[in-house]
Amino acid sequence: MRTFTLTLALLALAPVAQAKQITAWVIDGQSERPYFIQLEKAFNAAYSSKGITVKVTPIPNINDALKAGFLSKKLPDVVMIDGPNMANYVWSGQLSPLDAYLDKAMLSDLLPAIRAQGTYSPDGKMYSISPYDSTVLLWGNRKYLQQAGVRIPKTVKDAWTLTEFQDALSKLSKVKGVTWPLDLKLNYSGEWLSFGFAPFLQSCGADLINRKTWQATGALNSAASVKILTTLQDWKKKNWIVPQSGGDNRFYGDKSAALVWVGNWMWRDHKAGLGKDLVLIPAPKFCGNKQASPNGGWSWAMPQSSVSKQEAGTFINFAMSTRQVAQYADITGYIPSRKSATPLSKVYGKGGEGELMAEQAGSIAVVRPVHPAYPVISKSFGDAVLNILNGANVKAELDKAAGAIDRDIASNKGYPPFNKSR
Amino acid sequence: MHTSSPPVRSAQTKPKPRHRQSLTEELLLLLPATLLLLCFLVVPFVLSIYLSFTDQRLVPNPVPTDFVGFQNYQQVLSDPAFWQAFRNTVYFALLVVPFQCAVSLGIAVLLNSSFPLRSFFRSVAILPLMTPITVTIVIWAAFYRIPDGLFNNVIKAFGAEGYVDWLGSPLWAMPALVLLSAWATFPFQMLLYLAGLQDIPSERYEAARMDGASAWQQFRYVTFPGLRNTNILILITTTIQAFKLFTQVDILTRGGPVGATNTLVRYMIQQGYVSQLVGFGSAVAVIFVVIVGSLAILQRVLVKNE
Amino acid sequence: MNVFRLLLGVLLTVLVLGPLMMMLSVSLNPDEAAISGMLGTAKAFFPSTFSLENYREVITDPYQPFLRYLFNTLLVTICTVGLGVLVNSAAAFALAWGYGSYRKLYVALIIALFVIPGEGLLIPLILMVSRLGWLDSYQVQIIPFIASSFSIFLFYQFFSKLPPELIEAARIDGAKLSTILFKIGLPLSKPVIATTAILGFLDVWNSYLWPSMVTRGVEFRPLSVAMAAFFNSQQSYWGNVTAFAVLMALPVIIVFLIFQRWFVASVVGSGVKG
Repeated sequence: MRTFTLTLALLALAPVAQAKQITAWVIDGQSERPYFIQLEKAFNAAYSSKGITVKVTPIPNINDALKAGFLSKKLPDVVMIDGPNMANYVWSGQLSPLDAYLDKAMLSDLLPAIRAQGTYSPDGKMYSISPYDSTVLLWGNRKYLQQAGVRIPKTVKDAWTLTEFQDALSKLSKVKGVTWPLDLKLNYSGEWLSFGFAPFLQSCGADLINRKTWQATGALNSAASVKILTTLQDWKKKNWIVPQSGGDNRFYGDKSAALVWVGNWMWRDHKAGLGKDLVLIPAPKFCGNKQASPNGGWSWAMPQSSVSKQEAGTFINFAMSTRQVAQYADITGYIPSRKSATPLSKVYGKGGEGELMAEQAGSIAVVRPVHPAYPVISKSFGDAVLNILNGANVKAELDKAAGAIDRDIASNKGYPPFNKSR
Repeated sequence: MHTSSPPVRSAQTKPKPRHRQSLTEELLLLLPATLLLLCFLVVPFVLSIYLSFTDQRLVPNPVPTDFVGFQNYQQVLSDPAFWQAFRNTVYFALLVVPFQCAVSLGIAVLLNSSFPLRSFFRSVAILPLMTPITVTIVIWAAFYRIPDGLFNNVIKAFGAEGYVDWLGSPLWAMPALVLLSAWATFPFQMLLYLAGLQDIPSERYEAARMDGASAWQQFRYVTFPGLRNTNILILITTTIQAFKLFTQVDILTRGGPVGATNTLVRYMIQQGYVSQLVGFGSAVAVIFVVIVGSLAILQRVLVKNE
Repeated sequence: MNVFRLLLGVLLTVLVLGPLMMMLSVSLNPDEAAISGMLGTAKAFFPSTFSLENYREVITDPYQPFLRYLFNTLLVTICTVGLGVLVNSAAAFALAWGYGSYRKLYVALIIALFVIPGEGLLIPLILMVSRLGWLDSYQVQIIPFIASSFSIFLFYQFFSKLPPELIEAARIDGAKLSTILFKIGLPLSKPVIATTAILGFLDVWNSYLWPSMVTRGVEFRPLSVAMAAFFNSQQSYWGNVTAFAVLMALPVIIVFLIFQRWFVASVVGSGVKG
C-alpha cells in the first residue's frame, strides 16, 4: 500500500511523465533473456508515443513468485504463467479472461493445441496465450551414434521402436567416452519430471489422469504405465541414465552422455556445445506404433488485480504479433505458436534445422490436462518418476501418486464445476 | 555455562517513591519486545495448533476452510512419507551426534594441551563455523561429484571400479550429508568442550598425576566426569540441531533418492508451503515442536539436577 | 609427545583448510574445461593460475547481481541485529531493574519460550505475513526476528549483576529507567552486545529456509538463497560458483578472525540456550 501511495506521489510530482507504464513479469532463462530485452525495446519504440510503456522484469523461480503474488495481491499488469497451471489459477479466481482484449485475427491464426492449452473449459474463455509451442525429442551426438553403428531416424514416422532404442543404448554404452548413453535431465526439478515423462505413459495408452472422469487411479497406475516405467528403471539400473546428481551438461558440456531427452529450450546450448555433431531424433515409439510428445509452455496472462487491463491487452497483442512470435522462436529455439510466423522463422521455416520439432508438435502432441488439480497431478507424478528412477517399486509409487491426486481432488470437493463432468 | 537465572529482586527491598510512574516507564521499555514476541512467536505457535485442526490452504480459494478435527494428525501419522522423514531425521542424528561430538572432544583436548603453534591451530579450527553454510555445501558438492570428484578419485585410487553416486545412493547420501554437516559445525561443540575443559580445576589433574595416573586414566577419571554438564548440554544441543536439518538436504539431494534424505522440516515445508496445505503442515509443525521442545526440556531437567 | 600433537594439528589444518583452499584455487582459474578435468584431483587444491576473470563475471552478471544480494544481506543483518539490541536490552533492563512483581513470571516465560524451535512456526508465519502483504520485502526478513527471548535473557543476566548502588544513585538523581539504560546499562554491556550481535549475525547470514520462502526476485533476496540458486543454475561452471562462494565467505571470515576473541565468547555463550 505504501509503495502504491508513493508511486502516486511520484506521478503527481512528474507532470511530464504522461505515459502509462505497465509491468510484465517474465520467465528468467538463459535462452529467453535476449528475447525479452528485445521485446521491451520494440514495444516501447512503437507505443511510447501513444502513451504506453512497458517494463519487462525477468523473475527466477517465477512459479513461487506468482504464488506469493496471488497471496499478497502484489502482481504486475501482465505475467507469464506455465500453461498447464492456468486452470488452477483461474479456478482460484486469480486471472482475468483475455478474450475482450485480444486481436481476433491473431486468435484464428493460433496453433490448435495452444488454443486448447489457454481455454478454460467451464466458461470456454481464453485466459492464457503462449507465443510458442514446445516439444521433447532425443538429441544425439552424431560421432557417438556413428561409432556405435546406430540408424539415425529422420522423420516422425521413421522413429525408433522401443527395441531399437534399447539396442542403441546398449551399443552406445560401449562406445569410448560415453559414461551414460542417455540423459533424461533428472537434474531438473519441478514441471519437467511430469512434462518430460508423461509421453512414456501416453504413447502406451495410459495417461496422468482420466480426462473424462478426472480420476487418476486406473489411468496413472495402469498396467501399461507400470510396464514402460519399469523399462526405464531397468535402464537406470544398467547405469545407462545420467543420475540426478550428474548435473546439467553431460551431453553438451563434457560429452559423457550420448543422447538426451529434452525440449527445445536447450537448442542454443546444444548447438554451441556440439555444433555439426548435433542430430535431432524423433520421439521413439515406446509401445507398438504410438508416439507422443508434450507441448505448450509459458503463456501471457493478466492477473485479476491488474489496474491497466486495456494497456496490458495492447502489450499482449504486441507480444503475440507475427513478427514477435517468429523472433521468440528464432532466439529461444521454441516452435512459433502462430501459423503465419512459421515461414518467417529461420529455424522452423521450410528446410530449417528445427523442421522435425515442428513436425512433432503438429502430429503427436498431447496437451497436458487442463484441470485445477494440475499442480498436484504434476508434482505427484514427478515425484513418482524420480523415485522410480532412483530404484523405488514402480507399482507402489504410481499407486501412491494416483492416490495423492484423487485425495486432493476429493478434498477440494471435486473442484466445482469440474465435478460435473463426471 | 549454567542455566540458572539470577533471582529477581523483590519489589519490597526497593524505595517506594515514584513507584507508579516507574511502572509505566518500565512497561514502556518492555512493550516493543513483548509485542514482537507475541506477534511472531506466541501467536504463530497458538495459530499452528488451531490451524492443525482445519483444512486451511495457503492461497484463498472458492472452497471454504473447514474444521476437520483430528483428520490432519491421522493423515500425518498414517503417511509412510512422514515416518520415513522421521526415521531419516533420527538416523541423521544417530550418525552425526556421536561422530561430531567425539571429533570435537578430541580436537578440544588436543587444543587444550600446550604445544607449538597452538593458537594458530585454534584459529584454523573455528574457520568452518565462520563459513556460511551454503558455501560449505557448494564446496562439498564438488567433492561428491560424479564420476570424477575427489571422493570418487580416492576410491578409484584404492582400486574401486566405476564410481559411487554419493548423493544419489540411498546407502551413501545420508553419510555424505553427515560428513559435510560435521565439518560445517564441529567448531561449535569444540568451543563448548574447550570452555568445559578450562572449567576443570587443575588441582584435580595434579592430584591424579600424584597418584600415578596415565594420560588415558586422567582423561577417564578426571576430564570426562568433569565434563558431565558440558556433555549433556552438547549432546542435546547437537541432537536438536540435527533435528532441524534442512538446508543441506534442500540444496544437495532435495530429500532424495526415494526420500532417503527427506527430513521432518523438509516434509513439513513440502506439505505446508510447497503443496500449500497449511492445515496439514501445521499438524506436522505441532508434532515437530513437541519432539524438539521435549528434547530442550529434557536438557534443562538434566542440567538442573546436577 | 609435542611432535605427535603437532602432527595432529597439521592434520586438522589440512582437513579444515583443504576445502577452503580448493574453493579459492578453483575460483582463480578462468578455464572451465581445465577445472572440470582437475576438480577431483590434488591439483584443485593449489592455484595454478591467478586470474580474477571469474570474479569479474560474477560481479558483473546482470541477472545474478551479487552486489545487490550483498546489500540485501547487509541491510537485513544490520537492521535485525541493531534493532534487536535496542528492543531486547530495553526489555531486559526493565525486567532487571523495574518494580513490577510480574517480572519473575515474565522471566520464567521468556526462558520457557527458548524451547520452541523457530522452524516449527514457519507455516503459520507464512500464512500471516502473506495476509499482511509482506512477501518479497525487507521487513518480512527483519521484523519477525528482532525480538529474541534468548537475547533478552542474556541481557537480563548481565543487567541483574550490575551493582545496585550504581542504579540507585542514578535514580536518586531523578533519572528515568530509559535514561539509566542508555547512560549506564548499555555502555557497560558491550560484551553482551557483542555476543548477541555476533550470534544474530551468524543466524541471519546463514538463514536460508525463511528467505527462500518469502523472497522471489533478486530485489530482496539475500546471499544465502542466491548462492543456492546460483549453484543450481550454474552447476557446470565451477569457476563462477566458487568465485561467488569466495566473495560471500571471505569478508565474513576476515571480520570474524579479527574479532576472534568475541566470536569464541559468543559461541560459548550461546551454549546456554540449547
